[in-house]
Amino acid sequence: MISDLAYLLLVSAFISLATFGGGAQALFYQYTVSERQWISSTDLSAVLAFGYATPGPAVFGTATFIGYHVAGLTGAVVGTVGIYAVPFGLALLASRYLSRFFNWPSVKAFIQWLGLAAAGLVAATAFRMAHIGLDTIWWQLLVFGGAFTLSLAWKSNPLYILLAGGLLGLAL
Amino acid sequence: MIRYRQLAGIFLSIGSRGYGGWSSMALLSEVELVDKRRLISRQQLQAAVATGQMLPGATGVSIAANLGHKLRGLPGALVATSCYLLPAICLVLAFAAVYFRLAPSSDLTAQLDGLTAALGGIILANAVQLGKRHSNGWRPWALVALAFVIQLRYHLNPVILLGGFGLAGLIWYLAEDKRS
Repeated sequence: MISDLAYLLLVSAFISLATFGGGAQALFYQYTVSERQWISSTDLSAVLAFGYATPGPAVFGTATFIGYHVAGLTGAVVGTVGIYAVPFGLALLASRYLSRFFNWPSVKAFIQWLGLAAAGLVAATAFRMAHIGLDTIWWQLLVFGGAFTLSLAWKSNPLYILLAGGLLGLAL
Repeated sequence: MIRYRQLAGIFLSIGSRGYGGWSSMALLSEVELVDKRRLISRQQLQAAVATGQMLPGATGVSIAANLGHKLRGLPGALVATSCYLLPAICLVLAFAAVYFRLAPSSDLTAQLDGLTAALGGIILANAVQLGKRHSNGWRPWALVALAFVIQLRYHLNPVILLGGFGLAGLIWYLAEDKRS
């Protein structure tokens, strides 16, 4: 149990450090579904959907969710602290020293390319989460495309999009 | 000087209304702290948001910590951040408790087909927004496409993908810099 908690703390902290605007979904998938098998892909989809549909951080709540599943309330606390401590601490330090660091051209270049890779990574995760493949049914593609368009073009509330998609799925 | 209770109330309110990521949180913070109560200036708020975007991890948390710190130092940062997160944490905990009690995963997969498709669409939209944020022009999108294809084809450990690209960017910059 201690080793589980330690791993959870480290992984959460690591994911928070590696996420510059996006990519956490894929990292959660890698470390908690693929490698440790703490939760299934369906579980991850469920908690992500819940995160998007609710206020506050969307993806990072996954750490709390997994922590609870692994070690009850203690785990939830560990996961939560792990995922939020780093941005909290850095924000407090950020005023002078970090601002200068993050404005170095070399650092900016690193972060830019990392961010672009993260965009590609998240896009790949999107297709994976939606199980889009050669055997995907036509209406699923429509829902996928519709959700994408509504999100991007009309900035619709994710809650409604997910409800609509979920209901369509149950109906069809 | 703002009282802790008021600070807590403001960030609880923000934390229970900010749907769709940190940008709505930033907007709500502006309305609550700048427009309604004039507790900080718009420039200070924009600086906090810019800092939050620059840092890794949950941007909303970085912004809340920064603003709380501006208003009442370290205790302020703690109050603001924990109150901002409280609604979301309570909700996801409740969800976890219910979900793992009621849902053996195998049964759900078929019923959740529509939901996962919609989720995929939303996440893809996120990906595009992330790409836009780091792009100036069309060429960076080639890198996005490359990362996308690599990941679909090879399922690399995301850390290797991200770190590899980051390093490549650093090397590219150093090479360009040396040339000029």
